[in-house]
Amino acid sequence: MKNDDLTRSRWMVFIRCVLAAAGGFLVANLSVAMVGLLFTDTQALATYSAMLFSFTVWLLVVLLVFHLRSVRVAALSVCSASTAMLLIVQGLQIWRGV
Amino acid sequence: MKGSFRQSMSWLHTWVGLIAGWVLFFVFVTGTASYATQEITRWMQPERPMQGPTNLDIKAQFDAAYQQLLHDPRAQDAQSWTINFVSDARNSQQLSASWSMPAAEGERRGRTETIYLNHQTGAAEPLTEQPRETAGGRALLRMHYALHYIPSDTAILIVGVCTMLMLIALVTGVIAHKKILQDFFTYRPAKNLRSWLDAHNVVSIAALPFFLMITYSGLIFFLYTYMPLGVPFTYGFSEQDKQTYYQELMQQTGSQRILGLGGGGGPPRQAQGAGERPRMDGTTPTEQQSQRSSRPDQSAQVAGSERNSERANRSGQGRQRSGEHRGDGTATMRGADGLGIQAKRFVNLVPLLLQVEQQWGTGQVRSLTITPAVRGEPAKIQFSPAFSETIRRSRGAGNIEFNAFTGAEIKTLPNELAAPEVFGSSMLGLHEGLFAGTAVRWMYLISGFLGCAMIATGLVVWTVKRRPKLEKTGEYRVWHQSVERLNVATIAGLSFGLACYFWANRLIPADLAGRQQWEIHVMFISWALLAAFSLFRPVMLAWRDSLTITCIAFLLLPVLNALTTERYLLKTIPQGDWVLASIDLVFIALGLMFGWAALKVRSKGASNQRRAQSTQAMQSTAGGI
Repeated sequence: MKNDDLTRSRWMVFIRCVLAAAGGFLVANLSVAMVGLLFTDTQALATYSAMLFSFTVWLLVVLLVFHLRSVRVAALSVCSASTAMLLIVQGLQIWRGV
Repeated sequence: MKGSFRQSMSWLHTWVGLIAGWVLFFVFVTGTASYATQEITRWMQPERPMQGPTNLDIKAQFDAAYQQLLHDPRAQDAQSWTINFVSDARNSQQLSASWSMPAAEGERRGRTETIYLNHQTGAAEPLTEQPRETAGGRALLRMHYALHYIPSDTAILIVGVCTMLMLIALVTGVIAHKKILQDFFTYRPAKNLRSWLDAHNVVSIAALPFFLMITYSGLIFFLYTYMPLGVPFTYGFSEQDKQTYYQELMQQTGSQRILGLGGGGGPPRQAQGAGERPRMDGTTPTEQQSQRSSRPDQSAQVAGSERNSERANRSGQGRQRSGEHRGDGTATMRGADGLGIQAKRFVNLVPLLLQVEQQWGTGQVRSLTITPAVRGEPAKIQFSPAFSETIRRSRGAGNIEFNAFTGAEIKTLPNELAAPEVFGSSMLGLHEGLFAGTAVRWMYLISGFLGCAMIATGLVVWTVKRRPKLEKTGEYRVWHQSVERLNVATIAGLSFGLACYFWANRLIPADLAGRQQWEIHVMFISWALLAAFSLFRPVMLAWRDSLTITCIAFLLLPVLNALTTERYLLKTIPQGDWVLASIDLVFIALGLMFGWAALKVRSKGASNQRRAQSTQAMQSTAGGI
């Protein structure tokens, strides 16, 4: 592998790591809020349950990021997922009056 | 990533395993040792009496111990009395009577004192020496989640990141294996990389459910530290919002405590009531006392049986000095009757004991705890079973309680727990394995050893796979050499450090101030020395020498034990004290295992040398022609 290719490849891996760590963390935490805000009657219990399973969500994001062929697609997937979830959470918060 | 899904998962498995491998090896080694916390502490306090079978029935045991408590002047003002019977429970082969004093001003808990009783006569056995201060098994338990020499908040985060990486490595490892079942039954010896891969596969698949459980539950322990934004996103970011969540959660789960509280989670002080402040691991001080995870053992005036003090402290937590007895079996706060005086008004406790034994079976009553009347509550006698009723992390489950003044059973209805609470506490219970009897505890230990082996073989595979290629292309450089040496330093070095930890326990003078800290220092210093040694040796020689030194260190431990204490194998086995004997036997087994590994490395090194010589000879012959 040429030096340029090697450097580029290393950068791609680094970006995937950042996406998996930061993106996965954000998506996992947002999934907790989404579930919690969906069940108002048992909100605390739903939040707690979602937290128990949030590590699985994070794990799935990591697997996805490292599976997708293109870093751009991986970045788009994570960013769009987290943006969509953030909007849903904001919407639910406004709707519930949190 | 390039290649198929399976290939990309294989790549991820390789690198995640390497990055987290060294820390995880430390966590697994110390965590595995934690399954024998009490046993290790007993071994490290050889002044404590040996255990063994008894010819006294439970009534005779009770009479002997109860008389000690009734007549010992030091026990009269205690906030609880505890009698531990010889039972089928873990580490319960010693008859003892203990009492716990109220906490003095500025102290977290009161002092607990214990009298050990002779198994044949029931008479008190005076200790010839005070048990030495030792870091014991508790230090290893704490290290496996809070490391050492690092602020615990930071250490918990580091361990959390590595645990998450382990979860990724486990799942990707399963995905990467095309023939997972076939791999489990395949081992091809003397095939270099193939053999290492087979070994890695076999040990990984053998205890895979255990690894998945232990990793996932490890994350749940510090749920709120590792997922700090889940609650704020739902409830809001203020402290008040957090407290609201905790209060609602306890109502909705039906639990009296919050599981999974970590350093970053913030303690729900109001939610759990004044004086019950949750700690780093989400437990209340009451539970903390039973764990005593952060403190090395500090001996009480009489032998500090950890279990005794745990139960005694737990029972007496929050109670004031005893109150005045009233006719209805309750007491007021104004009275000053000590437990000793109140005990004179107790009903005959023997029928209660026999009733409980009949209900649970012979040898199934682990202990009883007596607490005085206080705050309108009657004096109580509480029986604890030798068996565990549930795998959930719920202390006190299955206990039976009586009013000590009237003999009436006090029945408390169990809370209806929500499913997520049951799931979460079951995961934590499975992680700790406190419910486990002897056989299951051995399974835990073996699974832990397999975990260490899985990580070690994985780390070795990484280097074995790359080295030949890199040597051929001339790219075998500092980075790869560092990984190889770090493997030696971690796998052999930590094991050697652990052996030295036990050596230090026997060699550091028993009366040295802060000796328990020195035991830990010795462990890390010896680890560092062996690591430094391995840095300046060729890799194969570093492996061979480090493994040999570790082998000798473990094999000589029982010898050192025999030379410095009266609790060596030739005494513990005839006495039937299998707890102490098994620790020595495990040292021998570990020594033999490291010796076998050292021999393997030695023969491998010799065959490599022969191959290199024959290649050189062929080349020179070819050059001559």
